[in-house]
Amino acid sequence: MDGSMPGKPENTRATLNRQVLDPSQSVRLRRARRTAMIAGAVAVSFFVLSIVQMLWIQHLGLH
Amino acid sequence: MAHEATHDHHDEHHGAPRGFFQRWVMSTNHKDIGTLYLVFALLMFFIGGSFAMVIRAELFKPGLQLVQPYFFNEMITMHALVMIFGAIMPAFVGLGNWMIPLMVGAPDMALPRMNNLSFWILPFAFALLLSTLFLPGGSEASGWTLYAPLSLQSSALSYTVFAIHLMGISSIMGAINIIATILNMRAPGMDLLKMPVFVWTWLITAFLLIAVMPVLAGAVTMLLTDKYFGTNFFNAAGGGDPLLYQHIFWFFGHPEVYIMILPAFGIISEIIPTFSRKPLFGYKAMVMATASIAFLSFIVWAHHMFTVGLPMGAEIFFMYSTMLIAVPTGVKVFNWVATMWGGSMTFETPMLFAVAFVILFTIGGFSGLMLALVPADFQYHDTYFVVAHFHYVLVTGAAFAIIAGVYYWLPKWTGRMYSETWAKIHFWNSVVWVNVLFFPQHFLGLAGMPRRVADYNVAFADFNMISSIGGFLFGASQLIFVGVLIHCVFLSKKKAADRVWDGAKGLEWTVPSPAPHHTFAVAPIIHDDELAHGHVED
Repeated sequence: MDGSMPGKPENTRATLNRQVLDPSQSVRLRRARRTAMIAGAVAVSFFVLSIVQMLWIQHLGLH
Repeated sequence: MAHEATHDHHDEHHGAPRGFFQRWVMSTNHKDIGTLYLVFALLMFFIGGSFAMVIRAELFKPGLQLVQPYFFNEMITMHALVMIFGAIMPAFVGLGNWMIPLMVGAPDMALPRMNNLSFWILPFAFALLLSTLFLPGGSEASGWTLYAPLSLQSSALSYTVFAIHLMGISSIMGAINIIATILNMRAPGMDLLKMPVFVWTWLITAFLLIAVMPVLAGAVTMLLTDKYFGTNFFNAAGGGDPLLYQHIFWFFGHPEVYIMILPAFGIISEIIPTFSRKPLFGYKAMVMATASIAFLSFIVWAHHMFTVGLPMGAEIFFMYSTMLIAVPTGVKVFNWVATMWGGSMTFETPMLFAVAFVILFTIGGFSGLMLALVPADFQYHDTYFVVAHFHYVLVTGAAFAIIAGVYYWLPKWTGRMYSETWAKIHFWNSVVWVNVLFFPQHFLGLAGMPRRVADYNVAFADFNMISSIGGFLFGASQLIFVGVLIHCVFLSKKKAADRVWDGAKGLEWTVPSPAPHHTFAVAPIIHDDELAHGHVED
């Protein structure tokens, strides 16, 4: 083990490493679905932002 | 030991569904979907390759020989779109699907039904894209960049944009699945810094995909609204600016280049330690270098646009940020060499392709550095030097890594050994002819031959003829690859051991060959000595 796993998680890596110690597949899958929703939301927001920033640039006449 | 700890003895009781439709169309199994991706990528590789043959045949001699200039430009556009989105990217997703759950001790991908949908979108996307070749006005012919306003002149724009949207949705769903799997489905003991480098590179690639595929979708959506809904994003006459398209396209386009090479780095980082019989030199440095390259990929996009009239400050910034990428890339190349140094090396086909990758990808990297220099780029821009550069990176880089990965893991997938003799014949033909194909293109570019033209000055005739001969023979060499694959899958009598290569470490080698339809149904307890990188110090 890398020494960061037991005890209070002091960083994100330790938290992620600790999570996989939970052997219950249903818990893992529930967490995976949450991760997927966050990633999907990020993707949609990047799509919207890419168009909004073009509208903004045109509105300000920066180009 | 490893085998007892990780081998699921119930695997054999749950075989694959018997019906063809049930197994391949309705599949939620990561191995079957991985196979579907790989077969699809191989098909696209040959379709995109046939377009390349048309291009090289037309360029065999000066003058117009076989096709009209517009059709030639359709070919270069379709060749790029098919190879990038249809061959290279799906091949990596296929390898990721097959290997990531096996490497991290997960029973399957986290979201198996979405995995099925991610794949089955692709055949429809490419059927739509390729069908535009048969439209009365022809397909898009403005290059894979679809620069406005040129791309807006094609009547095929709407079909092309819809196809790109479908590919993007497929890629994003695939990336989401990979992130969710790696972050949540690892077996206990598979800490982040003990994951195989291939898994790390795919995790970082998946984040890149999430960040930039929506930007491409946004860019092509604005093309669509400019053409059909009266907006003027990129129309100068209406107050827009065509250069805005180039900025937003390359904000996607440059990270896209790394999307196509980071998983290749991962494959090479698995193969070289195996055949050097040594642990990977500088595991943590490899991970950090991958992350650094991914970060830098977001701040270099305008090096594709040095000649459009950027302010001097911007040109200097993008020149230096681009040159900075050589640092983490150099770390990787030196680490691969250091891994081989002093190792008990053997040169089976995967290793041959991996060594060729290191040498030839480095040539592509050096020509990239030349292109990063603003004053030099003013000479090289839009010449065959650029074509030579990115084909060294994408063919002898990404495609060679995919082929190396297929040879490396094929015995694990099929349970049979491929013909080493014929695989080596494939390798030597590929490595010779690919250099005959692309190396002369450096000279053509330096002499000033422009890209994307069907005809050229007679001064360029000799190198073009050599390049075309290399192209035809490189294309023909890939038929040997198909022969080796068919022989291995259907005819080979030589059984593969569970640990196919004696220097191989990692969870995927602890399951039987062929890998059972279901593996790790119960999360295995993993010990450091079973992992390829189990003894990483903090």
